[in-house]
Amino acid sequence: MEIVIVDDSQTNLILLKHLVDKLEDCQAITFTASQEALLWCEKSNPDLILVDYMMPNPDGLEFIRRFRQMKGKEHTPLVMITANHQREVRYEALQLGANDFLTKPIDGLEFLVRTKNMLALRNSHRELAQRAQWLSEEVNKITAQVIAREQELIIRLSKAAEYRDMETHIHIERMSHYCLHIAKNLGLPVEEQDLIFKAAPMHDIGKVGIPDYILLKPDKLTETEYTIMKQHAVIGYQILQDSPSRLLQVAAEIALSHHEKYDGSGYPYGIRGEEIPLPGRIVAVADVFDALISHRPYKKAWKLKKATALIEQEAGKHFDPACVQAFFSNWNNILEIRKHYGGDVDESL
Amino acid sequence: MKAFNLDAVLEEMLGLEAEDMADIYKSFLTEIKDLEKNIQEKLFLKDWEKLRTLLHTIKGMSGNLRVDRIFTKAKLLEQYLIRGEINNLEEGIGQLSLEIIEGEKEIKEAFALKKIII
Repeated sequence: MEIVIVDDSQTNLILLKHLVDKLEDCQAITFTASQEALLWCEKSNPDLILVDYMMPNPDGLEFIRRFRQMKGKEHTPLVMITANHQREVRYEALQLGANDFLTKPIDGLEFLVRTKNMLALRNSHRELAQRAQWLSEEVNKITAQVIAREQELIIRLSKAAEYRDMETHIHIERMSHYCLHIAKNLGLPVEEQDLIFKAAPMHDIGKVGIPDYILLKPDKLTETEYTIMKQHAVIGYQILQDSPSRLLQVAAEIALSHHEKYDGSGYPYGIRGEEIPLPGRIVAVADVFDALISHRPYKKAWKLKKATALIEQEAGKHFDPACVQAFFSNWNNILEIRKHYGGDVDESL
Repeated sequence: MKAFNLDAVLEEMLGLEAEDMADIYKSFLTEIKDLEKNIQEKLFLKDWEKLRTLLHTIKGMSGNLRVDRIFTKAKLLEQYLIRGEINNLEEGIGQLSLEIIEGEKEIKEAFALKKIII
């Protein structure tokens, strides 16, 4: 362990160094100039500081003040060497962060006991810090496991919903990647991009609550049937709401709002513009686009040119114009997603 | 009163050997002579602040090494300065110089008895 000794008297330094040499596994680093000692301490990580009070600039009190301001030196034990009668100096030193005092004239036994106590304190701090670090790593590991399980559950839940719908798993994957593309181009923080990407697959989870004769009907829905169908947004929200998980909170928000329209003509609440949560506005573009260019039992896949024209045309009506602009930025990425996750599409724009 | 008792020092400086202490006292004798020269200079210049610092250093060193008469004299002179009793300083510093000469002699004799030359 490294013990820094700061005293402007060379003789005192030699005396203290000899005493330190008697301690097991300890090495003394001595300074007659307190300024030099501070510079050394800035770049090093000593285990104990022994500092005299009365020294040329900076004196012992100023030394303590500057030392304690250094990053990572908050808990390094520090002992000030003072005369017994210097009560005011001791109070000030304590306030500045001194842990203990050695009284002049130095007594060998007192020196050994106090330094050993301080080094034990140092070891305890180190062990605590290591324990805290280990705990933090464990918490991170377990949190990562919880997040992974949460994601897995979401994927499985979304897959369960697919069985009741004509939409395929591949549609959900493509759509999530389109969402990520839009979120990135909108300049959202990486954490938000990731949440939207992971929450988007659950946008239609509410369809599990729609009767088969409506959900699987190949023909156009009647007005009543359509009214029931529209309930999937609220059902999805009810399934996902009130979770402490931020991911499920975003997923609930998406489920409820992905059929809202920018001009207020959407459902379930007919909210408009920025009243619609951003994740919902992002999913709206991605979901409609992928549905347009995908084949369905009741419709053929649209040509890419026709689908993009519709998206552009609906900016400010159905869709948030900023999300539309973000969708068309770096267009090759959209084509890559489409290519990677399959789908018959005319790639000419 | 003797200026110095090596056996008492060795008893109080637990774990340190006479050889260790010889190193320390060699340094003490060199450093105190430098400080003494400086004291004379600061007295001539009437630089009381620096003079007080020098006396404080001598007091600390001699106290740590149990050179009692030097310690007592340095402490007294520091008190004169704190109280502003400048008139007593010149004579007191002269006495301190004599104590330093006497202290050196006693220190060397004490180590010689242990067959250590410093």
